Amino acid sequence: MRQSTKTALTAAIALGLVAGISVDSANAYFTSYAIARGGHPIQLQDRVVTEIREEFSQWTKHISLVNTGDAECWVRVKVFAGSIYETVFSGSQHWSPGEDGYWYYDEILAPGGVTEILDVKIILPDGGVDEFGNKLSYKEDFNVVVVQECTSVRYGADGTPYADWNAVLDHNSDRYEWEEGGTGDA
Amino acid sequence: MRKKKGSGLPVKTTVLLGLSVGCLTFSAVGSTRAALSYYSETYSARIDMQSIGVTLVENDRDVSYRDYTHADDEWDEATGTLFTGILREGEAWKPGEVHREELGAKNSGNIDEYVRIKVYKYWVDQNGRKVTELSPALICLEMPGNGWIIDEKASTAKLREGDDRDGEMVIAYYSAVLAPGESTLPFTETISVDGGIAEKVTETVETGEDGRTTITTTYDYNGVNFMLEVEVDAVQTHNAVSAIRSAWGVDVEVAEDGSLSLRN
Repeated sequence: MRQSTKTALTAAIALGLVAGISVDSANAYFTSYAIARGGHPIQLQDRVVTEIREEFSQWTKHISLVNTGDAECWVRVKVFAGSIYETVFSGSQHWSPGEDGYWYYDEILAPGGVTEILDVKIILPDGGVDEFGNKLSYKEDFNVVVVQECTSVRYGADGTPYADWNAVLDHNSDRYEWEEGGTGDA
Repeated sequence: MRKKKGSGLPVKTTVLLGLSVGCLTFSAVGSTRAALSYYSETYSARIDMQSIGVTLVENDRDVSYRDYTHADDEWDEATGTLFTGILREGEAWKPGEVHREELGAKNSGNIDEYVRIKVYKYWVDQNGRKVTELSPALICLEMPGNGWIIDEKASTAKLREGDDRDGEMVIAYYSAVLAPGESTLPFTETISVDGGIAEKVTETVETGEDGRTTITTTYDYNGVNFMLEVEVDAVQTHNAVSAIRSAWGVDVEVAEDGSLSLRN
């Protein structure tokens, strides 16, 4: 009886030791880790707004644009006139024509900044002649409309600024509707 | 012959005791080989010199590290911040502009190791709360490969053009063994915020009593912070398959040259 007690005790101690060792080894791999994080804020709230300044003398429109917003921007203008009215552009070298009929200013306009002048001379058609063959002045009313546009400064991969005149806002809403008599018709 | 009382242990007991000691010995040896975890006091003098450590490296700068120091459960560790020094004082982060962001790992311990990297990208508001409505895919990381194997199944982030996923996390394993002092090739090389965020807007329409409609447009990404969170993990190369399964929960294969690959 005493002998079997001893045997059982010895076996139990051995089993306990083995079990204890096994539990330890299951969690014993060498591991480590290192963590870091960081970020930067994005600011897009700057208002991009420009206004046109236009003077008229000697059948020439003297056009410049002023940045009245809070952010830098690119600007361009387009002049619309009837087909019988020829327009001749001149002025600052910073203005150059695009293939789409717009004239582009080649410098970024800072807030409060003003472009140099773009002159648009309007060539009037002949006013005809009177019964004595004298040339007459052109007397018809007409409009020459100047449209100005601005767009925010974008940056390429290397940080080079550029304008994306084709950028279209991606609306996160389907509530936008044009209403007759509302803003859409203005 | 009369058996002498108390002259020694019975044969059966002696055999059992011997077997127990044998079991005990083989168990200790087995687990030491497998896991390097169980060791006697005398053995500890040798194994204690083996220390694992890993350092997160950003643009050749040690950002965070955690190295075992040879003392019991003592770690030499530090946690740094990403993107320090990328912009000049007062300079704003410009959407579309690409910045160098080379993220990798260095073995700062003294044993060979395998490493993996987990990158989380997300947006937070001005109070630091995560904004899950905004797209992590607009935080663009260039990941050229460089010996890293992306776990496509475990990753949730957009990995390439045409990938419809828009989760936060990319996880990748460096295939080669990293010897002490060695660094991985960069997992990422550049970071940029997609310039298209300037076109993401929300419009609210309000019609007044006079019938006039006011449309207010707000930028969805204005005032939020883009965030990058990076973790590098290291594990011993000894008994790597079991160690990686236990520590990282993935099944891998280890080639004869030690290179690691994910088991599908």
